[in-house]
Amino acid sequence: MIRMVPAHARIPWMAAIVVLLLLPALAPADAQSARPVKPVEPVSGPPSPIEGWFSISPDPIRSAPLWAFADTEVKIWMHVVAYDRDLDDTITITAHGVTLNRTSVGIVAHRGLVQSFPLTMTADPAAPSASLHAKFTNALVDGNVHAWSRNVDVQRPVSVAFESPVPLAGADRYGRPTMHHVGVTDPLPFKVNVTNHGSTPSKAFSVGVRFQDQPFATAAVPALASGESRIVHVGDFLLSDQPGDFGWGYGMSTAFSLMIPEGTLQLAAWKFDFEDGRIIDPVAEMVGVEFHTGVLAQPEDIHLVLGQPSWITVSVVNYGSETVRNIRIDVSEAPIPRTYYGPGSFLKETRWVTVQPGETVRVNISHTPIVAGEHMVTVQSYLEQWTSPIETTVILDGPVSGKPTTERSLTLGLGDSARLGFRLTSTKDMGEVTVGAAVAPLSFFREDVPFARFITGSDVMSFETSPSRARLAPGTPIEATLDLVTRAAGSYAVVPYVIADGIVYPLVAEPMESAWQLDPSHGPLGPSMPMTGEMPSAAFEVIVQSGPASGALVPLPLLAFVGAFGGYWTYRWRKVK
Amino acid sequence: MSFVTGFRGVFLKEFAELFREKRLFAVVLAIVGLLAIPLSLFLDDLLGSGYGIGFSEPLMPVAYVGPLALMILAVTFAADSVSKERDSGMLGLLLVSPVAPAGVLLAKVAAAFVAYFILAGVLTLTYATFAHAVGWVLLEVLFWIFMVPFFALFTFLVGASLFVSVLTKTSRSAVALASGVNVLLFFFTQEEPGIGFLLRQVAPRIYEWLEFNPMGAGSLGARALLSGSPFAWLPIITTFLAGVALVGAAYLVFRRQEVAA
Repeated sequence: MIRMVPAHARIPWMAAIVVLLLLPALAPADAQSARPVKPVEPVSGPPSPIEGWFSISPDPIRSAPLWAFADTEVKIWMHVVAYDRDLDDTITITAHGVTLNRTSVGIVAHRGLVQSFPLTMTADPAAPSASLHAKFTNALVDGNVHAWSRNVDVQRPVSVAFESPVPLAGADRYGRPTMHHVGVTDPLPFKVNVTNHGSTPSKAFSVGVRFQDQPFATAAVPALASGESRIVHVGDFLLSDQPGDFGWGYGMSTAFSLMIPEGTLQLAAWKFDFEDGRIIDPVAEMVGVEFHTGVLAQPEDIHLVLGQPSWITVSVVNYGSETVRNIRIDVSEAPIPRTYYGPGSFLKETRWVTVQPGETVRVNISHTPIVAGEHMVTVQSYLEQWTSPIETTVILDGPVSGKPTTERSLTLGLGDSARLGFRLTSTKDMGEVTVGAAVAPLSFFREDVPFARFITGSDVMSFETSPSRARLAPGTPIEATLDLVTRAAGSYAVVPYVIADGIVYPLVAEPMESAWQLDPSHGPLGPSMPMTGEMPSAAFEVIVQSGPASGALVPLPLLAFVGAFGGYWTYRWRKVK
Repeated sequence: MSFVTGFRGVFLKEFAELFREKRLFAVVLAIVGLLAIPLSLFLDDLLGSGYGIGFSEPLMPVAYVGPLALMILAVTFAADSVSKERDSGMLGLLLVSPVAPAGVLLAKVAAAFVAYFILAGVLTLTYATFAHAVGWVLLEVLFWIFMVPFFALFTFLVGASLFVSVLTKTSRSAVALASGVNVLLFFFTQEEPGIGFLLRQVAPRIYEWLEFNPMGAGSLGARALLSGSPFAWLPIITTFLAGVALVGAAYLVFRRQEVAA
């Protein structure tokens, strides 16, 4: 038998439970603090939950003097080590040897904070050196956290600069500084100009030269009087003496940089690695040097005019002391993107020269460019081994331009067809022109034909442009289509073009940014500096995917071969029997 | 007696032997099988990579293994061609018959080339599955590989093997000597690891001439056909002419050694 409890009989019990649950909330604030909670661990002195650094910019990269006192920007970098929350803080800055326009700044510290504020420093002429200290004084974690900064010593402005070899003005399109040319067996003396620009004597310090990120020589510099400048011979560099294989057997290019070893002279402004707050050695200056076996071949004069007899002059200089015979010089000129438009669209010449010591031999190559647009001229020499190619970009402007009117990138299957559209315009009356298209693999790089020998673009893709001939004049653009049918798997560049008076005007996609623009955020100019620029690419890119096939079918012909032999032998055996 | 009298008779004998004996069967089965089995296993992976492979990429193994395969073929069908007759006592019989010495040698060479084209044919059929998947132009490339660089290389290999066959007394020593020389030439073409790699380090000037190593000419020529890179005609023509010269040299030695005797 089940005894039913009336609903109203449960009310007192439920009310009691609710009151018990609400009791903590009704209690006074003091009573709440008595509840067991995880305490925040007090921190006293280092290691603190905050690590702070600060630096003074601008970074001392290249040129001299390294810094100036007035209106200097102070950057703060903080890393909250132990707490994952924002911390209100005040930084107090004290200075010795300089007077500051402000001595404190409020910040909200969080992980990876980088904050800057202007700070004007006025030098104290009587002080031989100066230093800044920063202290974090008011962090609100239990009210007892005191973090501290590293000191930054502020020195009188001392400049260091290469005296010999002196950095050459300009840079090539890879961002490499203009190079000095030195034989691999010739010692290269490094001299550095040190100057005290301040009104008081400097400390003694040392200066060094780095090769491959390692110092190869350092020299001590005594204290410099106010305004004193001196030349310091740091050391002689001989590539062939360096340990390791730098490929000095045929030459190499590198950049040397000045360095001031840490601890000998604290530069006014450190360059920081903001990823983890470490100080990076400041690079004061850089000089580029190209070592070679004695012979250097490089383009001296590139004179290319569209449709006109043009020339490329290559100078071959023998810096060595012996006659060098039979140096192979390869000169090539090709449109970008590399696409084969028929005979004459590429130049490739090989010459052999012999150069006496100290002599300069000039190789003159005649050529009539027939393709408009951007071109790459490459000079490479060979003597025992190939040297690195020297590439120069030349733009041969023409009156014809255009752009795709359909998707630039297509992915098709084998045997698929597609229709590409493009519009061609001209700033000049070109008359009746021929419209065509060229196909090349996207990987078509240094070769002189786009496909395997005996294979042409039409073997991998049949295509037809419409119209094939039309009038092109200002205000009369050509709206054209390109119908293609894929025949072979692969990734292809498809470049429509116009031919007028024997000149090919290809339709290319312009790069997103101006070619070979350098990205200064990656640091100083140097061989390792990346480029953000792009070269022109094909108007259309077509990826043809392979069709289905079964691996089981591959051995079938072989099985047929075995069967044929087996049948023949059986026949013979029976006949003989 | 004309220069090549009896060529037809000896050639028909050699041709019949190609099919009657099991050498051709074994060599073609081994070479094509070794290429076809891995290719059949990897076909799906190759074609299913999404970012389409180039139409000539499946032919890469042919370019690399091809010279070695041709060497085996030449040694099998040319290195013991004369010494085999000598071993079996048939050489004397051939020479007293109305067959010109040149006819004997040319028939041997022709039989070797028949084997070459049978190998090329079976290999081409094997690649038909790939061609169906990546485009029939693949077979066109394979055709040119067998017609230009490999043809020149095979001419050299047959000439060298025939020359060794004429010089040596027994079939066994002819095969051993021809194999040894050709294997050595093959390893000179291998850059890393191989003799070629070492040679490039210690004697770069000599290494340059490796381009004219017949094995290198055949292999590099085939690779150039696949990639469209500059085609070195001179080493290929040199290889072909060297092969023709070796056949000529074999004839002269054969004539002086066997006929005069």
